[in-house]
Amino acid sequence: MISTNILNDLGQNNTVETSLEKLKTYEVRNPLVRSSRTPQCAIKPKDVPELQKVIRKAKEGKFGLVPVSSGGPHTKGGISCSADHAVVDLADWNKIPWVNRRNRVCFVEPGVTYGELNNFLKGHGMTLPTPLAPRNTKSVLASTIDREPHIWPRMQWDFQDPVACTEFIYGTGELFRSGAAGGPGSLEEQRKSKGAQKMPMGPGQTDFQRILIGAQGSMGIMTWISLRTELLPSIERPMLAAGDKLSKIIEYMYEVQRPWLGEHTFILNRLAAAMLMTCGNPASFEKVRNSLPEYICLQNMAGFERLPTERLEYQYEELKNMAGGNGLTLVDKVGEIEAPALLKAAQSPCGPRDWRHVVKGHCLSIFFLSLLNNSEKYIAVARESARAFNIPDEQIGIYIQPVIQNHACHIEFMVPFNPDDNHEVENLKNYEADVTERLIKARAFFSRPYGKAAEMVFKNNPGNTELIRVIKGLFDPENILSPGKFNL
Amino acid sequence: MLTVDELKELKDIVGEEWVKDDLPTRDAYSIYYNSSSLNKEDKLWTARPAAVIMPKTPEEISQLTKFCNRKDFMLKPFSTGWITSSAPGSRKTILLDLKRMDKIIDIDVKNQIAVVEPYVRAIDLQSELWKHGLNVHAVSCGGNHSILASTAAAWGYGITGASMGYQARNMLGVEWVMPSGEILTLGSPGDGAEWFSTDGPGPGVRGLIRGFQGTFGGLGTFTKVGVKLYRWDSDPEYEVHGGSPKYVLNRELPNLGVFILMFPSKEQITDAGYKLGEAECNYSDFRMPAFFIALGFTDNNLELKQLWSTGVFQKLARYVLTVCVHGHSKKEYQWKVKALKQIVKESGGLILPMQQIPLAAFDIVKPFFKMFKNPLKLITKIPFIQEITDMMKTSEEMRLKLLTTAFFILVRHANNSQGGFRASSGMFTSVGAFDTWDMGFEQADYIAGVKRPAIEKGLILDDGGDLGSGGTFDFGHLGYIEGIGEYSTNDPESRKATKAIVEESLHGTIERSLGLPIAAFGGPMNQLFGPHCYNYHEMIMKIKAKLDPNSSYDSWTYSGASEKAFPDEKEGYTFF
Amino acid sequence: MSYPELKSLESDIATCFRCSLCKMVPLPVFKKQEFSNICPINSHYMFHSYSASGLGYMALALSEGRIQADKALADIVFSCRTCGYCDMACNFIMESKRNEINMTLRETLVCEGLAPEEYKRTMQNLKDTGNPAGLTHAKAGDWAAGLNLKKLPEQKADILLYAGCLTRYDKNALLSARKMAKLLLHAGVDVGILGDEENCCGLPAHWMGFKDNFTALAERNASSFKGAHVKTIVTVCGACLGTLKAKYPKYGINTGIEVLHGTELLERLIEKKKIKLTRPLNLKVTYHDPCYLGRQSEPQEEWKGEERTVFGQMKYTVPPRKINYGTGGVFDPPRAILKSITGLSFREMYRIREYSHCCGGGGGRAEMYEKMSLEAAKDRIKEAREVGADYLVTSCSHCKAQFEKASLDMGNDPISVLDIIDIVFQAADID
Repeated sequence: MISTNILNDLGQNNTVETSLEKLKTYEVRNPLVRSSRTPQCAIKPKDVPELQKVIRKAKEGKFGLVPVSSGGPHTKGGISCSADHAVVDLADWNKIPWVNRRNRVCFVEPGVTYGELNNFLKGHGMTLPTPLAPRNTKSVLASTIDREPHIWPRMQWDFQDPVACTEFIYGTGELFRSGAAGGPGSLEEQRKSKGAQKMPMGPGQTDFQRILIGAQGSMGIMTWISLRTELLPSIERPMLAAGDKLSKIIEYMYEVQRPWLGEHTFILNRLAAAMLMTCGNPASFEKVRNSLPEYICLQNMAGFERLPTERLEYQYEELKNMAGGNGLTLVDKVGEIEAPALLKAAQSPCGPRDWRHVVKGHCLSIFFLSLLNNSEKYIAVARESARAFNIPDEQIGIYIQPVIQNHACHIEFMVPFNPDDNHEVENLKNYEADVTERLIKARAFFSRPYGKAAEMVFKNNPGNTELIRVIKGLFDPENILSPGKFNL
Repeated sequence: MLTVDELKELKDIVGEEWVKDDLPTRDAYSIYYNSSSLNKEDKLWTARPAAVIMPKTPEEISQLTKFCNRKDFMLKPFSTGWITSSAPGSRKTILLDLKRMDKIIDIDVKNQIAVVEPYVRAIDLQSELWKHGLNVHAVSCGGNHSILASTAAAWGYGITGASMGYQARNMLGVEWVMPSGEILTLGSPGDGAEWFSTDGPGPGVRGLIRGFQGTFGGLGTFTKVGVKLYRWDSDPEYEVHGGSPKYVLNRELPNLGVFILMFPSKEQITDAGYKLGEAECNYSDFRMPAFFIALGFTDNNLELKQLWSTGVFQKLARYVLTVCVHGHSKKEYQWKVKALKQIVKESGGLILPMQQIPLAAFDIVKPFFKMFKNPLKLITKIPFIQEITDMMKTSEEMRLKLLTTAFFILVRHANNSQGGFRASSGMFTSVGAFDTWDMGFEQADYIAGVKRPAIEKGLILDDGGDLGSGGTFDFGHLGYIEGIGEYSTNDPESRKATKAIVEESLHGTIERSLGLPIAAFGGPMNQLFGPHCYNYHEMIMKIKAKLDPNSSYDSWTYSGASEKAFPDEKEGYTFF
Repeated sequence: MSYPELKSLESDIATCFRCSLCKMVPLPVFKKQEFSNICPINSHYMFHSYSASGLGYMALALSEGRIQADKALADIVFSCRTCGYCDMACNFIMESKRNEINMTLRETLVCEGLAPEEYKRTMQNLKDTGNPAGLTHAKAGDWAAGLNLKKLPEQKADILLYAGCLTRYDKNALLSARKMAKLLLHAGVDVGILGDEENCCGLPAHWMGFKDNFTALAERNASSFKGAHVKTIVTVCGACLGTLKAKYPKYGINTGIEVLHGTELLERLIEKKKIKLTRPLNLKVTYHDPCYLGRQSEPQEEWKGEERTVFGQMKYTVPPRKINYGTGGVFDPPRAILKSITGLSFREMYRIREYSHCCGGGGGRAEMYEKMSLEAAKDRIKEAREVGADYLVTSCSHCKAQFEKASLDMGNDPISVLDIIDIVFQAADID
């Protein structure tokens, strides 16, 4: 239990929520995730020094802290915690303190959402690549430091992109800045010397932001990040390539991505595409789904500030030929889906709930990294497992997203379910366990593990897991941050 | 001194012929590039290693590591071994020369990923990759450096950074013999998957072993690395004619062109650099300082003296950006060239014709250049000057010669940058923090000022001061310039002046918030910069203590002189 | 102990910054990893001490008294095959003296009495028999028996055909020499030989580091060449060419007589149609550039001038000192000859001309370092195979013998090794 003294102390300068109703909003809303404790309080620190004080108090009171930046509902399980803990809610820290067009960079605090950021950036002729239709309240910081894939793969050079520099607080309460922001000098002094906190590595021989990225709040709490932003296209021509044969689309994707042609791109199967396109209008779900072939690939093309029309023209010619060479046709519309609408849906906040959840109330998402040409193998694995649980192929949504310039690929299987149907929930729990195990055996790499994967993957490479424990001991020696995460 | 039994133990691990402890061999491993920077008596010699071993497998390295965990010796691995960071920091150090580990283990053409051992040189890999339409980022010292080192263990700056990034960010998995002797693979291959990620599952623990700089062998040995590759849409190989030192391409390569862009001011070259990046025109780029251009124009130092003395280059070529444009197709190439030309024009620059200008011509134009402070500014204002320049014709062979020079620098990394040593006998570098393209030029200006007094005293070469060399990365998202200077390795006063410049620049970068210099690694440097950078040095010390409690690895290049080092080996140095 | 010769090279040694380009082909001509390394000792022993850079550092250590002249050092130093590639490689990026440093270190150790016993025996053989192997089964002029060549200096001729000691005592090589003589006679060339008076060119003494023996031999040869009153000396063996043309002047011995290799003269004769290559040869061949016919035969010009300093620390010379890039060797004539043969398919290897890979047979007493030296030759044979050649052609008796030995040792994948003279002779169809 967190002592009243501590709560009172922290409450002097910060907002401390203790009402159960409010605290329930920090619970993970996912019947497939092992139930976690309700936080004992939610602290909204006023500023960074107060946040440091919160950490010191947590050490003193021996309770855990789980940082939260996005608004609810929380469903993946990243904030679940089985120990006594308080939530550190940074969603109200939602400033965009600095933007710089010349160096294509902006700073965001943890509570800034994609909608807010991209509206802001538009005024500066820039944009930040988005994940596939993020929730309205999805924090940009939370998403990017979780390596959530975005839909503009050629703009992602490395898994740490688009995160540039970060400021974070260790579990010891000490503050650290990574990358160029690390110093020497303050941010303002660096900018005076024409630095722009863009370089993500460092200081020196360290790259500690990498350690916080993917750590689900267990290694430090970030207070801001700088982001590499991109030029906003001045003209766009989104198109679609669709068909029943995934192999053709994959070959096309390889051909296009290798020389970095085109812009935003991803592959959805008909279920996933219909889920995405009808999340604001669920009634049309069946109609849309039935209108589609098995797979649909978005292929955006664009021109920017420089010779935009000519750029678009040569790119269109090349992409059209590449599609043709792979037995595909680039079209403006497939079934009920128009390319501009799909691009817009993909880049825009999808609403208060995850678009995956709209059809049946919830959705099991299993995602991992591999290579694009392994996609069909993993689809077969997922389907084979599903058959054992009487889940038909057509109830599995598929999202294939090339990442880091198509050197790797995010593969996601989605099974929508009714969270109130205990039988279905139980069946999906078993399916999740089975398919995750099969996928791991088939060499799927759960880079950002949630759910069953989080329980399984850390057994694969014991040396790596031990190293994570060593780092935890250095960054958070008293195990304050997200205690129990990854069973560390 | 290794005992007979200890030597036997080492020989049993790797085979008798691969352990050397004779004095001549150990001295052959006691000099490196600028190694006098470590020597308190201003000599070239570093500590003499206790032995040199050439292992073949990670398992052998693991056993050698375990040996050093038990004994009063340390390991220091290196791959191609060149810069002084490869040097032993102690007489108790056993060097691991990884030359025998030279296999390109895999090239996944479809996914553009290679897996290599430590002694695979950039040019080894690049030559194989071109056959498959792929390319790899190489660091600017030349194609003879180790890809594993630039990816996992050292620096990663290179001229193709514009389109291939900083090499540390191209790491897709790494195999690591830890200081405990355990062999650990990080990232996707560690979990049994292919080599496509070093990050995860969960936290990116690679953040421990590789930052802006690597650990330079101070925290174990990296034995395999996955490398992110990039496209190459030109010929799979090329033929040359001529002989050393001037090999000339037999013909132009398709979808590839090189351009020498001249700008009258810093503002204009930086503007152009950003715009070229945004338009993704630059497959590679390099800000080549005037003195280096003059050097490239001449065949010997007499000619160089004559040319530089005209003063023309100082005014004409102060802000030159050499750019390679590479298109996936002819259409893309044409679009990029058109964009480049537009950018140069609106930035007030000029594309230099591919012309070999006779040396005598510089004498003719000398008076004109003397009259004006910035003659290029006037020249670029002449109506249709670019069009007029474009009309200048030259012979095919002459064009090929110039194209070749640029191609070897910008694409093939075959120039060997140490050709720049011709003017003096040594080269030092300083500043070189990584952040923005604009900041690169701030660093160049700053270091030019620091060099000035030594230049005026004749202690270092009068290269005009600004020998800032570098380029853009990730299509203008990042930029970098390092401050080079030339000195005489055989003149103690010149060496002393160099040391003083580098030391001053270290403090100057702190005062001016110019980022962490290229040489800011290792104990003393981390101690100097750490307090100004959120005490990262303390965390480095903790990491070292936790992962290498028995000092099995010589860590002078990482956390500082190891516990096992002799007292005299624990003093400071200025690395340049 | 002080070593003034090494002392004078200290500043040159210090210019080496350990880039390791002395071990590999020049970067601009790099083709393939497998065939990119050149230094035979480094490819085999691998340690940096076995490279020009390492040898330089050890020379510096010796000069500064950090190490002693001892067997450990000698074992490394004498393993070098003196192919001279490192010099060319280093000059590619800077003015350097790698070969001079290597040779001076070697000569220093010889003076210290540290040359291997086998080397000393070779020197004794040279002294006793005029050939390094100490062969006495035949006289020096026997190879030319029955050819009716003029005997110099008793008779007069424009050209002295110099067989070389390996050629004249090796039963295969002497056949090539005989063919060379026949070709010249067929072409009407006024040619003579020294007969039994022909001596070893001295190369073994040079590459083993016996400087005094070498100069003594060279002086003696120079005297007999001058006494023959010829316009031109034509060597059959590539190794002799490099010695006569480049090493003699380097050690201050000048004959004033033009020195050509047989291929150079043959090329001229073919061009003038004095020799007609009429017979088609359907052969797939590649050509190996011998070190001493190639890069090592480029004469080193003595530089006389002034060194000055400008811009604080920039040294320059007036006039500019000529740098030896090794490109002035004999590279084109053999190729031109081969390419002029009808039906012959010529293909280049990856390491050619000034950056040719050594056969491993030079440097003196290769059999002492048999594994390493044969490995060098086998690597070369693999390269020849890689480019699709069935015949490895060369123009040096040492290289030919070395390749033949290596080829036999390779078991199931031997390659046919030919002297270029044999091919010309066949194509000329004169016998």
